[in-house]
Amino acid sequence: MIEVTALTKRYGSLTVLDGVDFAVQAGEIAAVVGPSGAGKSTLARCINLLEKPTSGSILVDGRDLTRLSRRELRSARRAIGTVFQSASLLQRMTAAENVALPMRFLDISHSERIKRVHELLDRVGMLHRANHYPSQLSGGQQQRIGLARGLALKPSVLLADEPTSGLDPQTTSSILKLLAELRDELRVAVVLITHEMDVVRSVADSVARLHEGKIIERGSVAEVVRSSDSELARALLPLPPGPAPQHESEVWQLRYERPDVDPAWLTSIGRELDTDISVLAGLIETIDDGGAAGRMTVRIERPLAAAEVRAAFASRGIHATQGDVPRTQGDVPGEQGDVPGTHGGVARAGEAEERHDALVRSAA
Amino acid sequence: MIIATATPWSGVSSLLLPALGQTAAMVGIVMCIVVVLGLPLGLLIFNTSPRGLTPHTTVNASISWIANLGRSLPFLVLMATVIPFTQLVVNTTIGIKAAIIPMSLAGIPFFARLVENAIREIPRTRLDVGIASGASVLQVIRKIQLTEALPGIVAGLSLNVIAMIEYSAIAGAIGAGGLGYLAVNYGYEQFDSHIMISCIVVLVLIVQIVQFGGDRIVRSLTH
Repeated sequence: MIEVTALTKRYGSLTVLDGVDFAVQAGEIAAVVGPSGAGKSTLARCINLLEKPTSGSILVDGRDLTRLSRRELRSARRAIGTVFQSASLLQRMTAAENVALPMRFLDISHSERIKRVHELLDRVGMLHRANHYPSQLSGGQQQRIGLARGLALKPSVLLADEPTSGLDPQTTSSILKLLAELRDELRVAVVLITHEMDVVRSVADSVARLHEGKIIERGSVAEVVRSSDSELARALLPLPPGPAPQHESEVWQLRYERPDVDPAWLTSIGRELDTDISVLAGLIETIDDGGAAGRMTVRIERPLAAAEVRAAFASRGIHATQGDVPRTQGDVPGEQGDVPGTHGGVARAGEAEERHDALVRSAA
Repeated sequence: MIIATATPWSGVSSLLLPALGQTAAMVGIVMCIVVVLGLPLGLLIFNTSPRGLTPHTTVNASISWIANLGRSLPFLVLMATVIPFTQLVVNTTIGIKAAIIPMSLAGIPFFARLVENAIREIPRTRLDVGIASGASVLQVIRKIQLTEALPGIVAGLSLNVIAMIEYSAIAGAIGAGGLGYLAVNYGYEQFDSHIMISCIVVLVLIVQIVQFGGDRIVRSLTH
């Protein structure tokens, strides 16, 4: 496991990281999100000690890496494997040679190296590409090799710095699946630095939001999306703007509070309250714990007491608030268009309709 | 009055071949010196720069300045300037031995810059890969910088060989022998057109061969 305490990095008078704390347990994927300029890449470079932190400590398996001498650090680094953005493979080495590289630096014997490279390439499903050069591999294949290389020295912590940037959605999901497998089977603690909310939602166990060098929001992904309406929660489950409501008072914001919300709630609540319910916008997804997470804007078509409506939703595990949700999303990533439903007016309407249809089908 | 009498074509080879040998010897020896000294110098310039492995402003600025000094003088001027130094090192100021000193002094900084540029092309994250997995500075230099930059360094090498062939011709002026000396003394001063044409043809061929061969090697090294 890795424990980062009060990590601060200053360049002259500029404070890039300001007392960052977080801990990642073995077998956990912890995502750190934030817009560009929030300090994500500096945090990554401090964690693998490419940059020396100004103050604070980085404990890996109980050992403070910031206090080691240059010499001690060289061997202590093997506790942290790094997966770099766009893999960063050496172009003049084959896939197998790339994976073997960290072992060569530490004078691990030839026979041991061959065995381990075989094992790792097999692990990431790239055994058949062992003798290919990076230029002969696709982006996803390169990142698989990058993952294998990061694991070469059997680290207890894997630092993945934007591992899926530049990959298409399908390749991204296959890389994330592999990352989750590695977490479960090798019990590594994974620090996942990313700006893609889809990545966080599909693979992370916990999430921390970095803003101007500080972690200002954190929690397990399930906890964040089910129990709060914070900016991070709204960025994780972004709602496309639906058709403009005519009467504000009839509009309700819903949030799934429980993982086991019965998808038939739409019809069952409609019947209970004797009203039509129109879905204006919504996003429901299965998150990493296997339960559902959802966020929705609906309109109750018959005037009803607010308490009655709230109670009806609450009894089905849905949190309901009256009124329109604030649309501004501050600096949470996703605003720039990483998240479905936050860009392009036409696309938004289309997506909303699609989701609406899906929802109505699932409710019917 | 000088009467232009061209060496008969049959006699050209007896003058041309020894000259070719002298040029090859000069360029060969100089290139050995250039690689042995220029490569580490290039690595030092890059790695003391802010983007290098061990940034050091003062060291970087001073060696950079010295390297520029070697490249700022036209070769003929450099050759004349370093005559006392040449005398000191090889104990003569004429002949092949004397030509090697100024040629090396011009070639080393040239090659150092080519090496530096080749290494600068490697993205920073590829160096980070080494450092983050526990490589020492020397290991990063050997396994990452030199390995990744090899095609670029070889391309620089052929460029450098061609420059040295050109300098060896200029060095003919201090009696270094070789193709340049032959072209100037026979071809130019004695209006021997056969020698002149032969020298030109051979020089053009050599340069073409070096460039072609160099490009082939670079291509085979690039993956």
